[in-house]
Amino acid sequence: MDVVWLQLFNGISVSSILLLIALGLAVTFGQMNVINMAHGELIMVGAYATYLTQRLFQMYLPASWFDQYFLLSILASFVAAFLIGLLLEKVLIRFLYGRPLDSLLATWGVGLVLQQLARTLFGAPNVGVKSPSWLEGGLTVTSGLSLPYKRLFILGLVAVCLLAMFLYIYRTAAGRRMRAVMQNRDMAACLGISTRRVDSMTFAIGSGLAGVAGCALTLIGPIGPTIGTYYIVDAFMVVVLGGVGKLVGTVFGALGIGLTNSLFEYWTDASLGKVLVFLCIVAFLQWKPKGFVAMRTRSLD
Amino acid sequence: MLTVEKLESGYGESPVLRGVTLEVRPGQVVCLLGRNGTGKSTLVKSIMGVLKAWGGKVGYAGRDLTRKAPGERARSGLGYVPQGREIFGQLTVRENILIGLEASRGRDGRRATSELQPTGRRDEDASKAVSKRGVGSEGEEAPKAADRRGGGRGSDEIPQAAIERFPVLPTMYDRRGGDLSGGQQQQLAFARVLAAEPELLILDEPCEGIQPSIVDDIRDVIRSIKSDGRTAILLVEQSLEFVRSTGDYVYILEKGAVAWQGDMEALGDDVVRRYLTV
Repeated sequence: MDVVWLQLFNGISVSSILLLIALGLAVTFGQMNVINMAHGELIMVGAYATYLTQRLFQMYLPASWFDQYFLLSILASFVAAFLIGLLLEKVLIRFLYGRPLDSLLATWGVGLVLQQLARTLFGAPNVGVKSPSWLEGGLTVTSGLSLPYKRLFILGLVAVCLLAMFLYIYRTAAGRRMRAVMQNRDMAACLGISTRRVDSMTFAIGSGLAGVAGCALTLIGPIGPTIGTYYIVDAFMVVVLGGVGKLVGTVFGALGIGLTNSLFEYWTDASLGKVLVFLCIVAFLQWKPKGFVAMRTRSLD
Repeated sequence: MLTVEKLESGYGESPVLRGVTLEVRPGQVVCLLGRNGTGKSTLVKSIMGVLKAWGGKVGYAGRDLTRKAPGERARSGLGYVPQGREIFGQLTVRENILIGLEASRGRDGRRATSELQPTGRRDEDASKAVSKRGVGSEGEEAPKAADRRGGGRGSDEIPQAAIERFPVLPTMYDRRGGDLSGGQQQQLAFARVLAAEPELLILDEPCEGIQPSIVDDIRDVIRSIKSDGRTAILLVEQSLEFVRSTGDYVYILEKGAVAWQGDMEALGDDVVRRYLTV
């Protein structure tokens, strides 16, 4: 029984990382009609930003400070992915709004370029990131069940990110502009909002969240140039499953995929588990083609 | 103030406007008439920049806006109430009005000086505002008129200019725009655009599809904006009676071009029969 609980817990923790990745995708895919295949590489950017922060701490700062590097690296990974996302939006994505197929090809190319860049800079083999000592060990619940601190930390990190996103979207003027543009782009523009600026900010924030997800992934395993490709498909599944256009749906989608993923993998094995998950998704979408939460308002007619 | 020269535009491959030239002067109420499908809304959308101009020019206050984004047009002083209101349904009433303030953000020159007015002028402003406010709202709202424009740029306060004519709106600030009735939404659409105090207000059939009692309210609002004299209006409207009582100058569109134009007095029955009777 304890093993099942542990699997469930791991499932939730995977869900939370998927959620961070998928939030950015949900916005670009759902609201701007751009399929951003390079989103996975922004995860990689965040992961390598964490790696670099760690190396800098190891090389230039006293060893006693090392444990604090991880807090800084969260910030570093967000900023790095945010800036690269901003650059990407300014030079490429903004020409592709409303053209999903073109954007798919173009951003896939960008993804390949970024992967190769990582290979050139850091080498093809995976690199390990040493977790800070305060995240070693786990919280013992029963004698057979211990929840790893790392996974708990990831859950907390995602919760903080979600809360920050929520506050940004619903409590600030910039978030208000973002919601207005999402609901009615033309009217928002006619009232004086610079939709260009809102678009690039939205895209960059989504990218930054992917970067944070990459940072969280360094706690779970080694990272390499292709780390993003493992997650990008799952993240797209989350968005489609959750229902395009509603962020609440993304939360449900992430939970659904994360949980079924880890349970199926536990009952069968990794590859068969994946097959079963995708089968479930296909079946579900046959039943509800618009996903968990479909926009029902007249505004989409 | 607004000059449109030989403007051509349309949807997809099909042209609608075939060279429209018109002009709106400061403080003027210019009415745009024409039967259905003659290009009135298309013209208005092209002036706002929602539709790209295929040819011709849109100029405003000496600037060429033809290639500018709608946002920049709004920030340079154009306010737009579209057909069908286009309220943000998921945003609250308060948020809808605050979005309207975006157009005054970073507005240069005119706005800056009007905010730096000496207090004397501002009081005069305020008393004017009180005197022409709608019936039934005097007493309790009068003190607030003094903070008209007090909020300043970037603040989250709703300016008096937005709501002074709509005493009902402050009672529903926290309701979602989509939950309002059609008439309330139209009032909100006006409040939203007036928040930024535009110099030229573009109204596309403001009384279409709302209950008759509110139609009169909306018409009173348009009259009071006119009597204010600070804001010019470009009005697309079906009711000849209202156009006759409020307009200064008339353009009649037919097949995407101006078929007739002239002062309101010249709009005789023969013209109406020729261009407007269905």
